[in-house]
Amino acid sequence: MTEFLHPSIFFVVCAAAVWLLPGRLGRWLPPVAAALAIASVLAMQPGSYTRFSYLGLTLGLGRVDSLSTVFAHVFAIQALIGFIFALHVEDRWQHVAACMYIAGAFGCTFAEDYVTLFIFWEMMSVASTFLVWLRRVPASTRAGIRYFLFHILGGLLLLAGLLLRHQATGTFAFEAADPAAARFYDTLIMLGFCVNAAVIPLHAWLPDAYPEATVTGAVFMSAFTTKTAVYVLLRAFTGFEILGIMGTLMTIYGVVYATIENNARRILAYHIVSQVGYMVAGVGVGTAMTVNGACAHAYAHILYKGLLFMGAGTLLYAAGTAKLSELGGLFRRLPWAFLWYMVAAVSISGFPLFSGFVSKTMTITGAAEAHHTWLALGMEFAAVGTFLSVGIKLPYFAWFGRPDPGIALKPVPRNMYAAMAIAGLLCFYIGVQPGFLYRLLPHPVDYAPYTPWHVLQTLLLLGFTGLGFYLLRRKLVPEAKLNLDVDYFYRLIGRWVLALARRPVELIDNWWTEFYNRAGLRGLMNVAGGSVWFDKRVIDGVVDGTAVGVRRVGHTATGVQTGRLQDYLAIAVVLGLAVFAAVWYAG
Amino acid sequence: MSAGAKRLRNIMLACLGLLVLLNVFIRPHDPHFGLDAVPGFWALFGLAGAVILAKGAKGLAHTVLGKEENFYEKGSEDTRAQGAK
Repeated sequence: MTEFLHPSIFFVVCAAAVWLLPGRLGRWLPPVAAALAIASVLAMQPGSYTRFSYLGLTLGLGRVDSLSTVFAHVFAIQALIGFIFALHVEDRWQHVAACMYIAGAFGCTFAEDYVTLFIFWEMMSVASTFLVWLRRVPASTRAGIRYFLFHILGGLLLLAGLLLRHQATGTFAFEAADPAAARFYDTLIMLGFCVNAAVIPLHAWLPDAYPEATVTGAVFMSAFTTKTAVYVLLRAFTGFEILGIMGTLMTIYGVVYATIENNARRILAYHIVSQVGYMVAGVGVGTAMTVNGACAHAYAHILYKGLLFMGAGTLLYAAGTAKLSELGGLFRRLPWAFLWYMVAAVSISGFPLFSGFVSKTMTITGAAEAHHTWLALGMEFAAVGTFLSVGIKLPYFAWFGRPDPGIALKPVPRNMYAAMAIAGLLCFYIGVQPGFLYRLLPHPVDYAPYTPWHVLQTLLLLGFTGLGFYLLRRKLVPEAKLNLDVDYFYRLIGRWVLALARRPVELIDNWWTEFYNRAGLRGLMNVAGGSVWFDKRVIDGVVDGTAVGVRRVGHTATGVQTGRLQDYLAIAVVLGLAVFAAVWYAG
Repeated sequence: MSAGAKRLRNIMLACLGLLVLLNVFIRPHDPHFGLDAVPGFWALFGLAGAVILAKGAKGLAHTVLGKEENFYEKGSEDTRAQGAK
């Protein structure tokens, strides 16, 4: 046990302590937990730890190898940066939710079997939903519900897949699937992973929910959910060619939406889809070089995307809005936020000397060397779009552009700047010392980023993208509009279906009320009283007023949904059990 | 356009020209298909990519994708919601 101390332990203990400690003391604990997690990751030795038997299953919580270490490494660092950024937040529930969320991410990273993975996977879903809800505005409440329902779908796909797989193979071991002999259950598991990796067309939860999350919650969420999904895809589905194609489509899809979006945090959310596309493509091509590229890009991406969300979050925190059409000319009044934002922007664009350059080109070159020329070209095109929207458009209209509209700015706490400085310096350090990152990668690295040609090619590509923006700058003015995405289908069509379903459900409800009154089920219900008390006091207490807000929405929008948080959680459990029962029965 | 801005623009354009000139001497060590070895290919790729993306995406936004900001709230009685700030 001395070689492995599970990092999740620190965060779970920390969550409990923050919950129980009185006053403001608890806020200082999460950074300490993150520092301990960094120490434990650095001290880890490869091997399998924390195995135990439960109900005849062998569960493994501690698989440490080169693949899990690189992800754990950056997760721990980003946890520290995120908690420093969130140090001023007085709402203790946000710290509790973030701790449980990160504990879930570490649990997935070290899971050796699908049962363990599934438990931590669901823990992440629930905890991250709270990071959306805790912004406590009606829009975030509704976005959180959609987010949670969509992740239930992903979780159910994963659950059905892993149970069918167990039926067929007799094992829950979480190991690589063979691309040449993929079965139906492999597809189900992959789809479950793809929901969290925001693979199109399963991605719409991401740009829907992240811009509605709390300022600090979005920083955490941008790092962990999609990258945990990339990790599990790498673990199980390396070399599945469909992922190469879908990944490349994601890179382009994301930048198209980012080009027309107005909300800064939604632009960044679409760029997660785009950037995770590079990683998914790397998994799909599946050579040693692209697997390395996917890991390296995940590492670099977590740091610069967190920093981008910190920059946009600072705008939202200080100015009260993240809409580009309402911002402008702020670089004089928020110079440090501007500086660190630009460090992240040139990193994501892949400028030489910054982290994106040493990781993105690796994936693209790897795809080209594996003779996936079209995929490589698609990714180069997406790189153009990345620079166009995050590197030029967003900063131009937020920080320069129009003259300062004279918005009253709230003072920005120093800890937010400190966190941005750490992340920015790391982006630069990885850019100039790529060896630091390359040493962590699962395969030996045979790639030199700083050749004259790579540097020149990048400068040509980005320089002339800049010229394109200059020529079209009047056409690219952000507009205060909403852009339809695939969530249209589950938002509006879902509403129609529910409206149609209302009558039969009302009939059943009337019948049930009648039955309930006659059969005298009241005594039974009293037993459930205790759990109702827990629901009302504990869960509603955490998300103060959320249940009330949701109930109103649910009432008008659907008529079927009761709109109470605890009911959704109960539905999730019941659906899960139903799938479980069906699969066991069928076997 | 002020004189300073004009000078800045000219300097930037000169830098771009210099990059293309360098491309004549610095060639890809392992071109992946014939065309990418031609000097200026990636310059054209970047410029054309930016123009196609900007025109194409804005075209989509102005036809099928773009809706009013409260598009999803319409038809529900909950009018307090204002979408993301």
